[in-house]
Amino acid sequence: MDLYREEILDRYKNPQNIGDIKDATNKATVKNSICGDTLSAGIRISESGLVSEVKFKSIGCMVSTVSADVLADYAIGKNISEVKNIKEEEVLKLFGMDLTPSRRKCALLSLEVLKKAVE
Amino acid sequence: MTENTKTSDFPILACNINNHRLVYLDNAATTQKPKCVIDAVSNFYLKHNANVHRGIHTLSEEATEMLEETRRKVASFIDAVVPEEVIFTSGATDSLNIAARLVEPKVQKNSVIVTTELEHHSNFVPWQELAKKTGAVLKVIPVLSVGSFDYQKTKEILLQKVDIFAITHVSNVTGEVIDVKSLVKIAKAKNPDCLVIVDGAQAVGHMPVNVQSLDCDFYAFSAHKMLGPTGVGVLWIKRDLWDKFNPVKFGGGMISEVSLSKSTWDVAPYKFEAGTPNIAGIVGLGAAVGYLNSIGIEKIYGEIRELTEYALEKLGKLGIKILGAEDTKKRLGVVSFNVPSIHAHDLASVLDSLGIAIRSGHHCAMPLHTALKIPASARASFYLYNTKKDIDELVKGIIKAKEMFRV
Repeated sequence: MDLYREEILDRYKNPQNIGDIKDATNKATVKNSICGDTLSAGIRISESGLVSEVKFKSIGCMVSTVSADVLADYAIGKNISEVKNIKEEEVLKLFGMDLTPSRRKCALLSLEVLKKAVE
Repeated sequence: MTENTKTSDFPILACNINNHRLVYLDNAATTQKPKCVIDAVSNFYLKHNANVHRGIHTLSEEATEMLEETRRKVASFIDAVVPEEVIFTSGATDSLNIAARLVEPKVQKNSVIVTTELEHHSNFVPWQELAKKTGAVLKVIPVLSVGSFDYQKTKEILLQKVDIFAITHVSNVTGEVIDVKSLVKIAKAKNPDCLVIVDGAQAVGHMPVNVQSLDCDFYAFSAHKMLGPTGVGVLWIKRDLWDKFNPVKFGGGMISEVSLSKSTWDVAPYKFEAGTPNIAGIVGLGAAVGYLNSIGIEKIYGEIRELTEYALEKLGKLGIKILGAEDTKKRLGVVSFNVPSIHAHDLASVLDSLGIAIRSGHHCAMPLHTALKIPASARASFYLYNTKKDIDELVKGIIKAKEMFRV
């Protein structure tokens, strides 16, 4: 099936931006009330006000993990107001898959936690 | 059970989902409806629709009789003493909330309310809220490490005098059938005034239920988990208790007399049923009970047990983690599990692509999942139209998911 194609599975098995940032400047956690999954984000914002590093930590599904992983790449280099303005559609486009409404929530969990972290 | 003659009674089971035959294994969430139930609802609106109880005209008399006929059928189905013990609600959740509000005046600061980690949120949160509101002590019986019911611990707690005991009859996550009867006996021997509320949402229509034999005080269930329509539930209230409780919902249909200074209540069951009920849905429930009776509850119980044992045996060979008691004889119709390295949501998506409907998540039982230290699980649940072939499809689907995820 399309959702679980090779490149997505590879990214799920070898995510680039999953882990901790010890001296994160911003942190947040959200819980997906549908499944009980928890997703945390640690962000480092440089002195010039740009996002320099993003790490997510999750025990989530493939959709939430991969979307967090690609969103982290996307957020790096943006300033806080740009992060605040990232639209849901942009994240879904980054993920590049057709998702059912319930799985869309999994994919958008990372955006929710990222925005919470820069509030 | 490879072929099942009942399957053709359910039009939706002929649907194709994602170019595959629908294999519906989400029965613990809601069951499908046989054509006779769909027809009963439709027929009610086509030929009999009117409001109940107060009308003198023909249609109102017909609608009233159809509703009361369902009350009699349901009462007999659960072995109530009289039909008036059956209160129609909007579902098991509504029934349990009403029960919690009915007993509220009997609960004081330091009263003891006991429930368990195994409960669905609908038989947990109302009691948690009641305890918070009244200052009562809420004792939650923990599950054993595999997620099975701890009889020893429960017995110890019940012997310390309990005022309210809320317990599930069949777990919606592990399918464990709880020996409610023996627990009620212990609770009432210690405190004859102990009120026992049983959540029977996963039990009625799946196994023989006899409320008199259980000796509980309230028994709650939903129509839609036993082939009936959504939006209808039942709260069975023991006859001796009718006069001890004030209604908690007020309005049309439940009064005897209303003056500017005070109101008095109609008799049971009406005093507990304010407002226009879901008449068409109740008529549909009547048709569902008729259908279940035409097969026989003992036969249904036997078939679901057989499917459950078959599923536990087949799934047990896949190297996956099954939640709950190992004794297959204690389980009915529900199997929850986790495939290592595949999140339950991903498994559900892969299975959906193969036409197989299961549930993933916490199944409205967060305390149980927390106790088992898992965020979510996958759940397959069976009903009378399922076959061993459906379970074989599930097994094939899980194997395919494992291949896809390379685990």
